Amino acid sequence: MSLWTSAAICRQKINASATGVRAGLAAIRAILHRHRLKEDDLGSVELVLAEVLNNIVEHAYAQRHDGVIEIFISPCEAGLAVRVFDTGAPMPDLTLPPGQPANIDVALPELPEGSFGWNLIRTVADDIQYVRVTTQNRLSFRIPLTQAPPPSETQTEQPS
Amino acid sequence: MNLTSQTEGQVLLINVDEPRIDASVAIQFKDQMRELSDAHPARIVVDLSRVDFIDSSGLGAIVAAMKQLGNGRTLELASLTPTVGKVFRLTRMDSVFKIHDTPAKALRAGAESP
Repeated sequence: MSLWTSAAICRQKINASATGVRAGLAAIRAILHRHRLKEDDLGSVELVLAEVLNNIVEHAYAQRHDGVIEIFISPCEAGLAVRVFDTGAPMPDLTLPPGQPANIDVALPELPEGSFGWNLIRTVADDIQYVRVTTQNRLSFRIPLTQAPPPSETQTEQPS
Repeated sequence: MNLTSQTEGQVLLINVDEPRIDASVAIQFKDQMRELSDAHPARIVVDLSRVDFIDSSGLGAIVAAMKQLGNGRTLELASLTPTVGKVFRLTRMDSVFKIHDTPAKALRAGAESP
């Protein structure tokens, strides 16, 4: 099955803010729950998406509060294919962060309080790709599931 | 952000009565942890049984809550739900924090050590 040919089972457009991310994740979780994703897989999807969306809010849209993020989720080979679009600032050097594990073998006062995000994304997701198309950032990745992916047809989408 | 605390012997037990510790509440969590733990001398155990989800901001806030204790005081965790436990494992933070199955086991573990 090609990564992008099956129809999206979930499309969300969210406001680029911490509360927008929270509401969007809850809506996506509810949709995927209806598609009978197991709790373990729901957790993986929510974790990766939370990190991706928080990064867009904090970095791509930085000081702006009118940003919009679009999320599309489709079934794919042994997982879910996720696409995330925003029109914020491009990734520095048009390159994804390496996501090295934070160094935690340090004394208590030096323990890291951040920079876990891209390591979490890269640990859970694969096939991660990023392109900038004119003013739009397009990130895509696959989240492997422990169960068969849901069928692509859905009652949650209506033709517009 | 709804945190409550109770003293159990030498231990301050903090209950997090919130479904999520995420980017939208991470700073509140850290500030309330400081208020609750400021006057307490020794062990602090945080019951996370009601927290279904944390993101990296929430994880950072929990690390910050431990760091701001200083003075040899410890912050331990109890009752991690599956997704919260996954975040601790993936970041290896499960090797930094003492993690107990339940608050009761955390209290017993403290009573056994000298």
